Amino acid sequence: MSDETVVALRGITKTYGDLRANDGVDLDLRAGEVHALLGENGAGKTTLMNVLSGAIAPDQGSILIAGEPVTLRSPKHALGLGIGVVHQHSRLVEALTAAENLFVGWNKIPGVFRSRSTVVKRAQELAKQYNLELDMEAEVWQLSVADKQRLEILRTLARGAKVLILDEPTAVLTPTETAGLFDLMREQRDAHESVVFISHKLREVLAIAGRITVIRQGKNVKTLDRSEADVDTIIQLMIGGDVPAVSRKTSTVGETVMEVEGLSVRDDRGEEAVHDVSLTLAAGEIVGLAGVTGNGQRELSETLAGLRSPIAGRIEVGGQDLTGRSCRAFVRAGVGFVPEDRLGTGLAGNETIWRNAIMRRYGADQLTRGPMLKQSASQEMAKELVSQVKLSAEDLNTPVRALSGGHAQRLLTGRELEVGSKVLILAFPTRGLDVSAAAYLRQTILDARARGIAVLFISEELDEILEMSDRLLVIYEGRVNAEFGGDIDRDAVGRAMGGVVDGAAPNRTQA
Amino acid sequence: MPGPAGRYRIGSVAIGVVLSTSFGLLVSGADLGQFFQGLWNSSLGEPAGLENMLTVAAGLLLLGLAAAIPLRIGLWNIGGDGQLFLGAWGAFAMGQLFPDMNSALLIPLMLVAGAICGAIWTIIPALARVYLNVNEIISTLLFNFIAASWVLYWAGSKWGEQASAGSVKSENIPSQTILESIPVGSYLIPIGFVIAVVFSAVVWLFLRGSVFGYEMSIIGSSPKAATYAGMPTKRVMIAVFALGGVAAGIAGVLEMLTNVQRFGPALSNNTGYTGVVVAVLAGGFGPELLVMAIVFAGIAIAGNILTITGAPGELVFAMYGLTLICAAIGQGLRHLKIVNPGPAERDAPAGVAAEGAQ
Repeated sequence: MSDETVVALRGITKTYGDLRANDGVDLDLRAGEVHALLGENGAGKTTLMNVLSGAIAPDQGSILIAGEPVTLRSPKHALGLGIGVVHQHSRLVEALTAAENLFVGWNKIPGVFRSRSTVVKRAQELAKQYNLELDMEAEVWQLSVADKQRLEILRTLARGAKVLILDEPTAVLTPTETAGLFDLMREQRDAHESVVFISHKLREVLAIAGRITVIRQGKNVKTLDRSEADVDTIIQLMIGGDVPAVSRKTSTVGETVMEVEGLSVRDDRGEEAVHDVSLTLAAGEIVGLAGVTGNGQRELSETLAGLRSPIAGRIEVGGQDLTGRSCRAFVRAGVGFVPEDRLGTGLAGNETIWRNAIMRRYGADQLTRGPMLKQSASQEMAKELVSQVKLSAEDLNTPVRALSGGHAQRLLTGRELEVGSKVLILAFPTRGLDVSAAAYLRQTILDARARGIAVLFISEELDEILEMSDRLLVIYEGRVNAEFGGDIDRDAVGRAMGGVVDGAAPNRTQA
Repeated sequence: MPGPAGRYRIGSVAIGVVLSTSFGLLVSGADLGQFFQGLWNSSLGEPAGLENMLTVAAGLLLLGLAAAIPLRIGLWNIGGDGQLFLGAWGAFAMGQLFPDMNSALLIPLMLVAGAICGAIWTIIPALARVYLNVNEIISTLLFNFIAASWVLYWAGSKWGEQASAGSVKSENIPSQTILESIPVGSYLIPIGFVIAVVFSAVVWLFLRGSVFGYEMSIIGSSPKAATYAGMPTKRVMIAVFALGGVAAGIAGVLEMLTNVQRFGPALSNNTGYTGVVVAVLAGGFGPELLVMAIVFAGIAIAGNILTITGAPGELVFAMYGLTLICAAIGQGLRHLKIVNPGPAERDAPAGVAAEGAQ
């Protein structure tokens, strides 16, 4: 490893109105290192990376490349100087082939009319050169998430990036795919290039990073070498204190509350996304449903809340058959649901807090007088909920879109806890939340369990789901392919998430 | 005080009005003094001027409402004209059925019949949109052409004025149903305008405070959230279309009882399409819609004056269009802000130089 600094950020400050997103942040990137950037949501990681990649201009501070101050005019300009970003969400053109995507906005092939085969051939050469081979003739929508990411990395490297910034790249990957990405990061490091790895998965950061920079509230907290770092120190640095401890009270598992049998569901495109899923939820039990995003969790969870009709199967709650019934019937039966898509489905983003707070119960007698909505009673109900979830500082007329992710999720979960007197379906409830907000939420869920509510906890974070669940199911390509109870083997769960089921009778053989 | 978005809207519409009027003046070559004298006389200067302007504004307010209500949940009602004609048709039919009825009964009856017919005219496009996902922009638009043929049939052969030469129009409405104006000071306020304002205010207050209005706002913000909340999304969408049709139908009745006094194509001068523009520019269905309707009535009158001085009749629509373009540009610009360039930008040339030196 070398100590040669390739890029340095000095005193970067960027304010948005009253918010100091970055406040005098320094960062040194050396050649041949994987440098992790850690911080809670809103700590300023994204702003800093946008400054480094030329997407936004800092108010103050300077960027030095090889010791020379530069002003980055645009991401393209930054890439020309060797700094490239791979964003969390794919920025590829879905309808074009992988090869064509490689050359969008990058005219590296002579001639006006280029034959498809030339483009593919050139793309394959580049892929070989960077050891990032994939099917160049496939259209992007046909590629797996991991391949899309490889394509984006290839596109960035091929255009000459010496500093590769990866913004939460593992969020959508299976453990095996993550391992593949790490190999690639190590190759970059060994080739004397730099990688900036943004993540909030501490285990991964510790596995791959050479140095770790922690920022909090827009300021540098510390940069440490891997050798000085462990999980507890890093968390303390990130949140400026200890993590609120989550206490798990013992709970007696009661009788079965929700019973699902042979459920099959179509997705929005009409393809079968959930096949023949059966599960039971008992009072006072948390059943975890692990799986990489996009394996049918959205469709399954929406069906269990009445938002989608199954094409086959049965759903019973407390002995009552709810198959094919509306959301309202599920609410009446006491099924609460925290959907994955919080600001589009769970909450109406443009609407105010109070209007969102009454959303699932607005037709109730105490809120209506004839065709009119009782304003005072609605506001009262909203106020109660808001103080329940400790958002009392907020004005009830604030649009929920203006709330932080953690606060919006508190509001949504709080509301669903009141709706879900029997069952609570939670789809990725802590995704995108920072450490303390996630801890608060986990505690809320554990408290609900202690009150005898049956919980289905859907998550892709292995650590979290292992900590929370009494029983664990794994969903892969729309099927429950493994079930675990008692002492759960972490690696076996990870393999099942990738479709590899060992031992007893897997539901389907691996393609 | 309006927020930044509102200020942009008002500013860009104001610029549009000034630009389009200047453009109109330039094209027509009208005498400036004459133009402004005419404009003054047609608005506040003379009782008859204001009366006429408010009558135009009443139509634009209701047709603005006909577009603005569906727009609140993301649906486009381009069929205001057709609904207007059907409303007038229903009212005229009442006049034919009960020609001697007392006006205190007949006028309300005509309004109700007009409201119902206007609503009925939206049903097919609404059902097609909700159940078959047929684009409502196209279906409501095409229904205008059906309505136009319907008007020609009834105004021409069924109720047609035998003596008339040239334009197609029906016999007169029963004379007791003609809506007069109320004198206020030295001005005359048309009853039709009062009815339009009261109706719009009632609709606005109802949508602000009712369960239905609440459902509309959630559907407008996110249809998926509305389904999740257990709302009858489809029913609300159909009702919203129907409510738009009611507003347009009433506009047709009022125009017939106030101005035209016969049933025929003259009831609308593309008022339905102008209503869509008014709705888009107002960005809501409250008081802002009334303001925008009056502004557009003013533009219509300015255009008419220019037409009198020899400009082509299409000038008014060119002026609407120019105002709309200005507003659209303003809408696009509102995301930008004029800022004092910070030190980073000021140093840009130096930065570029440094980079060149590498």
